[in-house]
Amino acid sequence: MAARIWFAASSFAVAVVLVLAAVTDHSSEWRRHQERYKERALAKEKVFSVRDLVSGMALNVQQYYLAGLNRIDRCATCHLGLQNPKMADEPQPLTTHPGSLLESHAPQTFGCTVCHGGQGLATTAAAAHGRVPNWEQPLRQSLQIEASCGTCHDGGRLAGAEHLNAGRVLFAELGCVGCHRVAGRGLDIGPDLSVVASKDFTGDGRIDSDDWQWNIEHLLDPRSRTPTSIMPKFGLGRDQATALVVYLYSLTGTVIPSAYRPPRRPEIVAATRVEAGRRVFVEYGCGGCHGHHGEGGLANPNSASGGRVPALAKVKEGYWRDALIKKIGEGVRTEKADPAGPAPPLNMPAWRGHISAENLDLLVHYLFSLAPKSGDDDWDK
Amino acid sequence: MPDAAERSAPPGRWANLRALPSNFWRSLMRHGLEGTPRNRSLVVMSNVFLHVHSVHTHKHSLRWSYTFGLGLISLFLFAILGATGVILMMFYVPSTELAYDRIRDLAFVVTGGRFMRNLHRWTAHGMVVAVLLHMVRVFYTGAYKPPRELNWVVGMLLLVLTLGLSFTGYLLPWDQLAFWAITIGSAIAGSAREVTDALGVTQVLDVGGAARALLLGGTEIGQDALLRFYVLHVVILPGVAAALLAVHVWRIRKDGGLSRPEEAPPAAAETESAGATRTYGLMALVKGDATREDALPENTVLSWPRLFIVEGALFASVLAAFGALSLVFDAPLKALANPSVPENPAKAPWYFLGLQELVSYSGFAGGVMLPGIAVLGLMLIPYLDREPGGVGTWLRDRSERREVAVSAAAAAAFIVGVLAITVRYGWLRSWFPGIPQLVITAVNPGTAIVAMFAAKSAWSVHRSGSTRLGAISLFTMFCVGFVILTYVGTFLRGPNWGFYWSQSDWPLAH
Repeated sequence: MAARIWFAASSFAVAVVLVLAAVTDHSSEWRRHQERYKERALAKEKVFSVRDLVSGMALNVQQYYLAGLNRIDRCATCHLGLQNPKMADEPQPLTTHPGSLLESHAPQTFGCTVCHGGQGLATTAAAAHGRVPNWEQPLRQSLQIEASCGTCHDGGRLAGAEHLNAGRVLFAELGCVGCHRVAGRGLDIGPDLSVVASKDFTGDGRIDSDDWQWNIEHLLDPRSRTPTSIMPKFGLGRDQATALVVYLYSLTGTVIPSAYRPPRRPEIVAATRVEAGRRVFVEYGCGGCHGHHGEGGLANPNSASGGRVPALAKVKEGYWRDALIKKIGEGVRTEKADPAGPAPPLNMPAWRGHISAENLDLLVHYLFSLAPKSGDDDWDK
Repeated sequence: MPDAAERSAPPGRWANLRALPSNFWRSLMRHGLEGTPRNRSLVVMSNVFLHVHSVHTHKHSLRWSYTFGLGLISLFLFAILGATGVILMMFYVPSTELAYDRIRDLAFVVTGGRFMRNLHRWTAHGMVVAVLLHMVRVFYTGAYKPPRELNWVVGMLLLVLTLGLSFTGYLLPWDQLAFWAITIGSAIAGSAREVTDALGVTQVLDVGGAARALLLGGTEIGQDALLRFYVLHVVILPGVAAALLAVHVWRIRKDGGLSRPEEAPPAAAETESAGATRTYGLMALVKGDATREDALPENTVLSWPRLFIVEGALFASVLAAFGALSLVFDAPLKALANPSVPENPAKAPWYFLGLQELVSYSGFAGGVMLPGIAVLGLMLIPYLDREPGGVGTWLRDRSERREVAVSAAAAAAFIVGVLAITVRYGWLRSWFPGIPQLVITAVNPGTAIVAMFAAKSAWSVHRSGSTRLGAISLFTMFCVGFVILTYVGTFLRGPNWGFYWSQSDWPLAH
C-alpha cells in the first residue's frame, strides 16, 4: 500500500513539474510587452482595417535575420513599436526609435546590435541588454552608440557624428599610427588597435562604461592606468580624450560586408608638394613623437638629444636631401646621455618599406619647409 | 484452425467492427487484471519489457537499505538522458559557427528548450554520482563475488563510458568552459609525449601525439574536434553503453538476480544451478491452473505488481526530482569559446578534478598511468579476492568495518600529508631543478599515494590472510582518495593551479 501511495505521489509530482515547466516557459516577459503593445496600439488607432490587423496579431518572437552581418536580432520582440510613429509618447520598450536614422538604416537590413551592442539572440531584457554574466558586449550608451557609426563609416567626415570626426582627426594628427597598428597600417611599438573596442580593459568580463572611462583616463595620463607604459602623455583635454575614445570604440573588428559599406570618398589631392609632404607627415604619425608640426619636445629620458625627441625645424641645415631620406629609412638608435643610465624608451623606427620613395621625397620637402625662412630660399615652389 | 463452417458463416456484417475495441484491448493486455498467481506470472512472462524481470522476486532484493535503488536510478537517468538528448539533437548543430547560438536559442526561443537542456545537464551529473555510488554499494555488499565477476567488469566499463559520455557532452556548447576543459582533456591524451620525449623517441614513436590527433581530428581544438566529440557523444558511446547495459541487466538475471546472503535459501526458480528446473516450472505454470500463493519459492513474492509499482514510483521520483532541479537551476553557459582568452584556472568537469590534481604533478602519470592502474585494479578485484562468503550484507563483521575505518583514516592522513608537503614545500623539481622528467613521472605525489594504497592493502592481506580485507582496504582508500582529490581540485585550486583556501583569495585578473 505504501508503495502504491508513493507511486501515486511521485507521478503527481512529475505532472506538477511538467505543468510548471510549461507555465514558466509560457509566461515570458516579452508576451506581457506584446499584450501591452496591442492594447496601446488599439487605443491610438482609428482606422478599422489597421485595428483589425493589430487585434489579430499573434504573440510571437520577432526577429531580424541579418545573413550579411551574420547575426539575428530579436530586439523587436519587446521593442515592438520602434517603427510605429504613433508610439513616440510611450515609455520603453514600446516607444518609437528617435530621430530619422532608421530611414537610411532599416532595421530589417541593419538590425539593432550592430549599432547598439547587446545580445541580439536574447528574449529577456536582462540578457538582451547584456547585463548577465558571460556576455561581453552590453548595450552601448550615448557616445558609445556614436562610436558604432565609425565601424562602417570608417573614412572621412560623417555628418552628425562630430565626436567621431574629431576623434578621427585627432588620431591622425597626434601620430598614433607611429606606434600603433590599425587595420594593418602603423608600427608595432604599442599594441595593435584594430579591435581595441573588443578588449576588456578592466578585466570584469564585460566591455562597458568602466572600460570606456578607463580609456579616457589612460589617454589623459597613460601611466595612471598602466604604470609601465612608455606611451607619452599628450596633454589632451578631457573633450579631446573623449573624442579619441569615440573613434577608438569604432574599431570593433566586426567584419562589415561590402554591401553595408558607405561609398568611399575620393582622396584629397594636395595643392603643393609641401602640403602633400605635410600629409605624409600626418599619415605616418611622425608628429606622435616629433610634435604636430615637427617642433619636437616629447620626453625621451636619458637621450643624447637633451632628454627629448629632437625638433625637425633645422634638418635642412644638417642634411642633404639624400642623406635625410637615408636616415629616415634606417631609423635612429637613440644614444644615452649618461652611459650608466637606463636606455631611452623611444627610438626612431626604420621607415624603409613603410613609406614609398615618392612619399619620402614629399616628406623631405615638407621637412625642409619647416626651416626658418631666410628670404629668397623658395626653390621648391 | 477454424473449420469451414465457421468461416462461411460470418456472425454479422458489423460484428468485427463492434468487437474491434475489445479485441484490440485483449490482444494488447492479454491477461487482464485478474489477481491469481498464474495470471500475475503470465503478465510478466508475456511482456517483452517486463520479462527482463523474474516472475518471482526475492524479498531481500526489495530491501531499500540493501541497494538504495542505485542501479535502477542510474538506468532511469540513462533513459532520461537518451530521451532529452534526442530532443536536443533536433536543435543542435555541431558547428563552431552555430553551436553556441543554438544553445542560446534553446534558452531564448525554443519551447521547453531551457527545461530540456537543464534536465539533460543535471541528469548527466546525477548519473555520474549514481553510477559511482552504485559501484560503492556493489563493492561493500560483496556482490562482485562469483558468479557475478563478469558483471562487475561490465559495470566498470559502464562507469568509464558514463564518464566518457559526460565529458564529450561537455564540449558541445562550444563555450569557454567547454573549450578549456577539452584543452586539458586533449593535453592529457597527448601526455604520453612526456615519456617518449624523456626517452628521446618521440620522433619515431609519438604515441601521445597520435592519441591526441585521434581525439581531436587534427592538432587544434576546432571544427573537427567538435564533430568528433559530437559523433562520440550521440552515436558511439551511447550505442556501446546501451549494448553493455543490456549485457549488465541480462547477467543479473543469469547470475540469479540481485546478490543476497547465502544463509537464506535461494529461491528455487532463481539459482543458476536450478536454471533447468525453473524453465520446466514456468512451463507447468502456464499450462496448469493450480499454482497457489503458498507454493511460491521461499522468501519470494510475485513480481507483478509489487516490483513494478516500486520501480515505477522510483522512476517518477527521479524524474520529478531532476525536473524540479531543472526548473530552478539553469545549466551553465559561459562566453563563446575563444582560443586567445584562456580561462584561468581552466578546470575539467568536477568528476575529473581529482585527476586534474594528479595531472598537475605529471601529465602522463596523473592522466594516463594512474587512472589506468585504478580502473584496471578495480576491474581485477573479483579475480584477486576469491574468498567465499560475505555476499549480500554490508560489511559482514567487525573486522571488515574496522578495516574500512583504518584504511580511510590512513589514506586521508597520507593524502593530506603529501598534499600539504607539495603545497608548502613543492616537490622534487623545486629541490633539484635539473632532475630528469622521467623521475618526476615515476615519483610524484600521485604515484606516492597509489604506492601507499598498494602497500597498505598488501599489508592488510599479509596480516589477516584475507584477500577480502585487502580488497576492502584498497577500495576504501580509492574512494577516500577520489573524494579528497576531487575536493582539492574543485575548491582549493585557483589561477595557475595555485593553492587557495577560498575563491575570495584569488588574485584579481589584471
